[in-house]
Amino acid sequence: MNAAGNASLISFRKAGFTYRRGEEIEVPAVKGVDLDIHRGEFLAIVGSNGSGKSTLAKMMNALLVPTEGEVIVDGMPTAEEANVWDIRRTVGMVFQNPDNQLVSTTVEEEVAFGLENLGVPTAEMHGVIDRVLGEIGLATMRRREPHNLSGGQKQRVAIAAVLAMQPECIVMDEATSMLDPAGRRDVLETVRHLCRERNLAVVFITHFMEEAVQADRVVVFHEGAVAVDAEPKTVFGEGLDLDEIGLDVPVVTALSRGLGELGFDVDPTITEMEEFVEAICRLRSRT
Amino acid sequence: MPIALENVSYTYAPGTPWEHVALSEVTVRIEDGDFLGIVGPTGSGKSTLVQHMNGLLFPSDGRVVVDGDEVGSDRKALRDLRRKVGMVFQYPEHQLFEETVWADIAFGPKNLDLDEEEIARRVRWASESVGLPEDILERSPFELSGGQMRRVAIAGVLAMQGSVLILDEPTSGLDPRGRASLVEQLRALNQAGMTMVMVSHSMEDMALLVNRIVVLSEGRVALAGTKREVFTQLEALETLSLDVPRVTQVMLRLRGEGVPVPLDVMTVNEGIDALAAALRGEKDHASQ
Amino acid sequence: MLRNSVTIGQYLPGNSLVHRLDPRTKILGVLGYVVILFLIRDFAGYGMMAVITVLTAAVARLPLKMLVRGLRPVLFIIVLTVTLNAVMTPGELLWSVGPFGVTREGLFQAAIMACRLLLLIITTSMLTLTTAPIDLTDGLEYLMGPFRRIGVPAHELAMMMTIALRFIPTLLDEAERIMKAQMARGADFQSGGFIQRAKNMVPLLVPLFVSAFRRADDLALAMEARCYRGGEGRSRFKILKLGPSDLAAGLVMITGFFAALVV
Repeated sequence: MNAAGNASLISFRKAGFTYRRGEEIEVPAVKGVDLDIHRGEFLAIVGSNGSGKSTLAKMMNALLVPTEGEVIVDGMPTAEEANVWDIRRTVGMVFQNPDNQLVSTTVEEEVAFGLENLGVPTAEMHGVIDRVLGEIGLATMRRREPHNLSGGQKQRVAIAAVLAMQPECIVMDEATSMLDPAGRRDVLETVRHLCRERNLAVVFITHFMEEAVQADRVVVFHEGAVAVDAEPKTVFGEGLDLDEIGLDVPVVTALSRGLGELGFDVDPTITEMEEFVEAICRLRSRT
Repeated sequence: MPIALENVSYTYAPGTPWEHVALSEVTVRIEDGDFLGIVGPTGSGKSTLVQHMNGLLFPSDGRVVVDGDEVGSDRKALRDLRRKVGMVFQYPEHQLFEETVWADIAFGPKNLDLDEEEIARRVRWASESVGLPEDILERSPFELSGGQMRRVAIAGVLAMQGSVLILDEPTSGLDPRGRASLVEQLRALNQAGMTMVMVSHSMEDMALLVNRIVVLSEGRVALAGTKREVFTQLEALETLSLDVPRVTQVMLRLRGEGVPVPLDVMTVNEGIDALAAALRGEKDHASQ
Repeated sequence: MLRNSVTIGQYLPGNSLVHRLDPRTKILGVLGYVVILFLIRDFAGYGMMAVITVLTAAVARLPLKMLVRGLRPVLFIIVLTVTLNAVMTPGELLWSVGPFGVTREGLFQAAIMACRLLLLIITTSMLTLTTAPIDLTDGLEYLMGPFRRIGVPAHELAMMMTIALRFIPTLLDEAERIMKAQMARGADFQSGGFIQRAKNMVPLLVPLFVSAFRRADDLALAMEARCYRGGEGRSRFKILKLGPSDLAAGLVMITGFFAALVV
């Protein structure tokens, strides 16, 4: 429980994961992480490729079990095999490659797949599928075949397929990396809507800072550990050398910093367009 | 070695239920040393367009002229064409197949029947051009990271040592560091004299690299001109549902609030300078 | 595009009575047909069977062109079988060509064989012409169901078929992309003798296989993330239900088969 009494849905307690390749080669991907993910929050996890963020993601739904420490989902330790299916029902996941997570020949059947796995009676399935497709805006595409969909549409189908299982949290594991800008916007908007309307926790893993700053909270992940865990407003004030970490800054932040370096009185940690516009207008009115 | 597409039209699968006109009377001209950007919504025909430049597709109507010769289906001529005009597809790391990085990069030169020494020189040059360390050459391409695999694939095309390089979404899937690094390398290649054509959804990449842009919409050329000319046609681009660089969007927003910034700002550095000038300019005026 | 020139199982979409039949009815119908076909040894019987086939094709509104197309790949086998039967059956010699003699019994056998093969191929291709691959898979899964008790992994087989069907267009697209990418590097997939061309396929096949394995890995992870754990405890979304037309079709078929046996 944190101070606000908001129960922690997923807890990492000194959790780590080391890949074993053969007898000698050991690659620690995640090292001793302490992290809490709360119900209903929109958390972004940013890191460059190789930072371990995907490994971290897979530890949230027991696809990977920690080799040190523990991960607890809704009170259930992921290390206990008996919990696995309940954990995966609670924490759903959408993966990076839009194609390689769709198994069915139509959109409708893809959404039904999870329900079939859970043994939901056929009569109940139709209602759930209708509702979910409507919510994600896919109602007119129920009979479409996956290979005829755009990347963004495929990812939304994947989200719908997870949503049908009524999870408490969706982990988007770099789900926008392979999409074009329009697709990225659609997917981000979809999960933000779900977070707001359904109080669904969203863990959004990305390497685009522009996406990350739209979250409630940002965790910067670097070399297997949490480098920063803060609200978007303060992420850039932490003296973080983002260049060294291999990440970029949102455009307005770069502009603010640049102006700051030239001697203008602008807050270099601005991350939002509105804030930036306000700051510039304030500067003008002073001259 | 200029490339010219003259009134090119292309129809997929004519006479079948899947018939689809992908290109309609497209005319594009590329001069030596150009860095041409091709943008357009998905399905506008960008990939179809560039595949005409190295003879992977032939026009249903109109013609393609490369270096003075019209592109035809003669096998030998095609081989020459593909030596001169190289193409890197999207996610090029998906085409790696050899046992070592060396062998994969050498695949192209081998197909050109070059001698061992020449092949070796090209493999080294190509891998250096993309920033691959020497010890990587003996490793299997399949044990490399995604970013490294991409460089190997690009090196494989560079090794053909053509004078034109066509790239389809070269930075897609890369993280910021990977992207910055690749953009730098592409710029260096262009500055060294290579003519380049890039299809991309990233307006930021466009802003940093290209000098001219062609905008496609539904198989036709909707806009064409220099980078600045195209990116400042904000209304037209919006109608086509196309983005401009984020920095340009910021300038647009500020303009709306009455801040006298120019709209042809395309990179962050230009943005900082423009804002500084606008703010100082007003200060000067006020103190007069 | 490669994808559009490869038709899977030659399915011809339509809305005829035959198209709308439950796939199980059609599969069992074809099975029954084949069994009866091999029990019949007279031309009157074959004639009756041919009538059944022609009637079904008419109801299904299948163009003759499509039916005959199915024969092309096996034309050689038919001719071979027919010829062998004609010359190798002992009996009353009719005429001889060199060391080979055509007998009356041989001609009879050849004719029987020809009838069987033609009817067999045309009728089974009618199955794939009127039934979408995914429906065929569902039908087979249902029919294999009772055999689960003796260890037939009906669900797993059906799952494999569904995934294969889902990925065929995707893999074809990828194959086309890889081919073009290698061609852009000077690869030649067309010239050379048989062995040379086989070697030339390596730059296409290796990446395709590597990619297929990667897809399989990713897919397995995604399926597990959505609680897939095999067929145990799984429910079904699409339920196949037999309707009055299936009953009618069944009756018609049984009558037809009976008539063919008796005639």
